[in-house]
Amino acid sequence: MQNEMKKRAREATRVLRILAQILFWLCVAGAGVCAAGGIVLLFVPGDFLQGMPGGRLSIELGDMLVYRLHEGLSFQDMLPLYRVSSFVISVCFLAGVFFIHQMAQLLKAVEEGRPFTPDNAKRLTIMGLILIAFSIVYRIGMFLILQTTLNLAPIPEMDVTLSLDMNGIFVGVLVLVLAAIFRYGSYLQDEYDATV
Amino acid sequence: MAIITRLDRVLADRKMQLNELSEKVGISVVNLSNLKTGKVKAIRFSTLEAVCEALSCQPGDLLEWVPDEGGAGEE
Repeated sequence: MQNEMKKRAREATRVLRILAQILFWLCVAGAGVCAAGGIVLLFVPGDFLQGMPGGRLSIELGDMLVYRLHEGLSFQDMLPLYRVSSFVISVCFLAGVFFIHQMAQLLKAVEEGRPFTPDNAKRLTIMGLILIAFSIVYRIGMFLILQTTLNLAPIPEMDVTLSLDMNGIFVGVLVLVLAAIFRYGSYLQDEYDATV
Repeated sequence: MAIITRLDRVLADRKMQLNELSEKVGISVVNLSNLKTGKVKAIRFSTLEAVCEALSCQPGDLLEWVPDEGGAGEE
């Protein structure tokens, strides 16, 4: 019975690890494409693709309210927004790359039946710090995108303010607490392994 | 470490090999080897009981306290 449960847990962990590896490579591709796109857009001259339509600017308030700012902007007008967005998105993907890499290594150790090791505690610490840093960096990125959007299509009496995402920071702190638990768990595992 | 094991001495006295003791006691040769070389941090009473029964000896024959060179044992 216990062996059967262990086998199922191992199988579930293996599936999660494979999914994490797929996500990892998707994030690597996304980061690469967005960073390359951002670099290309940096050197694009102002009159490139003159007259080509750029798109429509709109802001979503919550999930159900859309405020259309400006329609029919040209590619040249939207260029600053595309530049900022591509770099912000590539940073998001990069954070995902590092986070998912650590998670995949952790899942591999769990699959091998070694969850409580100092390496796993270290991986969880790194994951927690990435979550905290990302929640700050993401907010700064969104601020830059929204500021650029309002520069393109100003709305009277509307400003963008920078605030911290406490949810992301709280989750990051929880992961750091989990890392401390795993660190203690690795100490207990070591004590158990060294007991005859 | 202040506590050392004299398992090798008792095995030699009983003219027993480690793998034979492993079969009698039901503990792997690797673990017994770690016990013999002092690489373990703790020993369960159940293990001590099984080893003493197999070797017909007392726990004191297997374990010995030796003061550390730094005098850490003096208190």
